[in-house]
Amino acid sequence: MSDSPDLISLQIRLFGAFRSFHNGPVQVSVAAGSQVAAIKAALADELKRVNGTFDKPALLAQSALATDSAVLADSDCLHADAQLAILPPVCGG
Amino acid sequence: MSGRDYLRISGSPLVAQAAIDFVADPAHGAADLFVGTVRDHNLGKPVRGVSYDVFDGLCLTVFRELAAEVRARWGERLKVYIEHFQGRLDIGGVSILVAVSSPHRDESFKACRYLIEEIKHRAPIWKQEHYVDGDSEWVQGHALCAHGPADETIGL
Repeated sequence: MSDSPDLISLQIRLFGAFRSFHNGPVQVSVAAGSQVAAIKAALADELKRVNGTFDKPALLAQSALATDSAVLADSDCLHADAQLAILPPVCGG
Repeated sequence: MSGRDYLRISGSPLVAQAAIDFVADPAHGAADLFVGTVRDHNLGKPVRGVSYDVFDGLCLTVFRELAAEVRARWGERLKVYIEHFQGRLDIGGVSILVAVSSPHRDESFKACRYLIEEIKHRAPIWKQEHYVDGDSEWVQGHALCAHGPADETIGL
């Protein structure tokens, strides 16, 4: 029996400044139960893989993960495959 | 969308008269309209256009929340129109229309101001400015967080 955690697959849409690096979406795999920080780390790795020039830790830190209906809190955990979006600081109007 | 709200993301030119017509109501003696347009400069750099990126689904959810918030604060009878442009605009292009009508002017003034300020802080919308020198840049904005009304800073 394996002790490795179950993995979930997340499709993440990219908006705003992230589009300068990839027009997305990108796919990442993380352990079931992962929180926002772990998902952002996986996203950073994937963005570096698809575009070697991606090196924006501050942008990622200031950005939020969201579903179609809500922004995720840092303490939220994901337990199943999902479609998310990474949202840099906003400036509509 | 209720009959009192018109909430939309649009890739077609925004028309101010449509907002005024929507919020018109024989029981309302006041209507306020905010029109956001693309200006020809930002932070000292000459601008020739702006592209707007929008996360449609969540953006409409935020618009619905905002419409509910202004009704809770300034009355159930308010009519609300919010339309934001998606795509590229040249100088003078209309990026957003916000209109509110109410029986008396105080409520529509306050609700209209609240809506545009909260949209700037909470709606998932991004601007990429295109400069006269050929460069383009995503505009710095406000970080989103997982809670409701952004702040009490506008003093309404």
